[in-house]
Amino acid sequence: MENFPYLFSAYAIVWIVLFVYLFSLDRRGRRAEHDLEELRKLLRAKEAK
Amino acid sequence: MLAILAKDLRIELRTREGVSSLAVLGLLVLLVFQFAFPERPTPEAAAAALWLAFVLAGTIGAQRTFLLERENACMHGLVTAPLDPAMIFVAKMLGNVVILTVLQFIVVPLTVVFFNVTPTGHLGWLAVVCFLGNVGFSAVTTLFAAISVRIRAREVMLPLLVLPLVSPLLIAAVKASARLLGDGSVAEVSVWIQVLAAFDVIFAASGWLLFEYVVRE
Amino acid sequence: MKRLGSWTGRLLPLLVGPGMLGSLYLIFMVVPTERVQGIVQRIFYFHVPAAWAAFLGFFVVAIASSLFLWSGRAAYDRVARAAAEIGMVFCTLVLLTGPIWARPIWGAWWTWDPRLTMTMILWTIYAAYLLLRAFGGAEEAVARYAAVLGIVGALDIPLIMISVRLWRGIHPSVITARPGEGGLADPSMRFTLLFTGLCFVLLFAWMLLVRLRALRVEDEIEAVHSRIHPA
Repeated sequence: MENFPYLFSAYAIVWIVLFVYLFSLDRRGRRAEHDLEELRKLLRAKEAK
Repeated sequence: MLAILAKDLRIELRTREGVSSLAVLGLLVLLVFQFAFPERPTPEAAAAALWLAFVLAGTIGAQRTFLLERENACMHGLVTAPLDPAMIFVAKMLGNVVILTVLQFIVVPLTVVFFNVTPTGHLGWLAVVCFLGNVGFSAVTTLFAAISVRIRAREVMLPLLVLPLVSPLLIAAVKASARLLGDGSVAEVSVWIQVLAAFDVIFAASGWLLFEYVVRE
Repeated sequence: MKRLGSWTGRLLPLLVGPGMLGSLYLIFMVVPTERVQGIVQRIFYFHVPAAWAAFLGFFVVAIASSLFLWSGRAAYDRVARAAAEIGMVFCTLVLLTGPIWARPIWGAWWTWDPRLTMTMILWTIYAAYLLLRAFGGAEEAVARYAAVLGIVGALDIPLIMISVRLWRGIHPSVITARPGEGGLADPSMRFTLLFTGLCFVLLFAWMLLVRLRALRVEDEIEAVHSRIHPA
C-alpha cells in the first residue's frame, strides 16, 4: 500500500478532468438555451409589430 | 506554374530583402545556441542548432509569398484565372524550396564553422538530408501559410500549425545531420533518409490535393 | 442522423454508467496486484484505454474532416470539431496519468519513451486544431482550414510513430518496453484492460453525441439569428 497516493491521484485526475469538461459542456448548453430564449423573445416582438 | 514561380523568384531577386533577413536570422539562432553550449560543442548540438535556425527562418519566410499577394489582392486574380490550384501550390512550394536552399547554403557552412565539426566527405549525403528536409518543410509551410494569412492571429498561427506536424521531419533531419556531421556512417543514416523521403511524398501530395480547399473563395 | 442519435443517445449512458462501474470493480477488486510495480500498476487500466480513445478521436476527426471537405455538409464539420474536443480531453488524461504512474516506478516524472512522446506530439496537433477553431476568426472558411489540418495531422501519425520509435531505439532509453504490457500474465488483467477499453470507447461515443447535440443547437441559433438580423 506504499504508493497509494499515486494511485489515488491518477484516478482523481481522471475524474477531475472529465468533470471540468462536462461542467463546461453544461455551461455552454445553458448559454445556448439562454440565447434560444432571447431569440424567441425577439421573434415574438417582431411578429407583434 | 512556371510563370508564378518565376515571378516570385524575380521579386526575391530584386528586393533581396527576404533572403538576407532570413540569413541573418539563421546566423543569430546559431549564435544563441553557441551561448548555451560554450564548451566543446557536439555534432548533436550542431545539428540541432542547424535545424532550429532553418525552422525558425523558414517559418517566417514562408508567410512572405502569401503576404505579398494578400497586400496586392493577387490571390483573387490567381484563383479566378483558369489555373489549377494544385499548380499554384507547386509553384509556391518550389519558391519556398529555392529560398530555403539559399538559406541552407549560408547556414550550413556557418554551423560547420561555429561548431567546429568536420563533415569529412559526407557532404553529399548531408546535402541530400538538407534537401529532403527542405522540401518536406516547404510543403507543410506552404499549405499552412496559405491558411494562416487568411485568419486572425496569423503571426502565431503558422508556427503553431506547422511545428507539431513537422516533428517527424525534424527528428529525422536532426538525427541524420548529427550522424553526418560527426563520424557516423551512411548506413546508419539511411533509415532517416527514408523517413524524410516518405514525409516529403506524403506532405507534397497532401498539399497538392488540399490546397484548392484552402484558396477556394 | 437525428434518429440514430436519439436511440443510441439513450442506449449509451445505460451502457457506459454500469460499464464504468463494472470496470472499476474489475480494476480494484478482481485484478491481482502486479508483482513488480505494486498497486500503482492499476493506473494502467485507465491510462491505456484513454490513449485508445485519444487515437480514436484523431481518426474520427480525420474522417469527418475528409467528408466535410468532400461534401460541404456542416454536420461533418461538427463531428470533427466535437471529436477533436473530446479526443483532446482523453489525450490530456493520458499525459497526466502517465507521469503519475511513471514517478513511483521509475523515479522520473517524464520519460521520453516513444509512446508518451508520440502522445505529446498528438496533443500539440489537437491543440493547434482547437486553437485554430477558437481564434482563427468566425468565417466559414475556418472550418475548411481546420479540416485540412485534421486530415494532414492524421496522415502524419504513422510518420510520427516511426520516427519517435527510431529516435528512441538508437540511444539507450530509460524504459525499453512499456511496463505491464510485456507481462500481462494474468488473463484477468487482459480482460480488464479490454473491458475498460470498450467502456472508454463507449464513453467517447456518448460524449461525442452530447457535444454534437449542443453544437447543432448552437449552429441553429446562429442561423435563426442571421435571419432575424440580416447583417
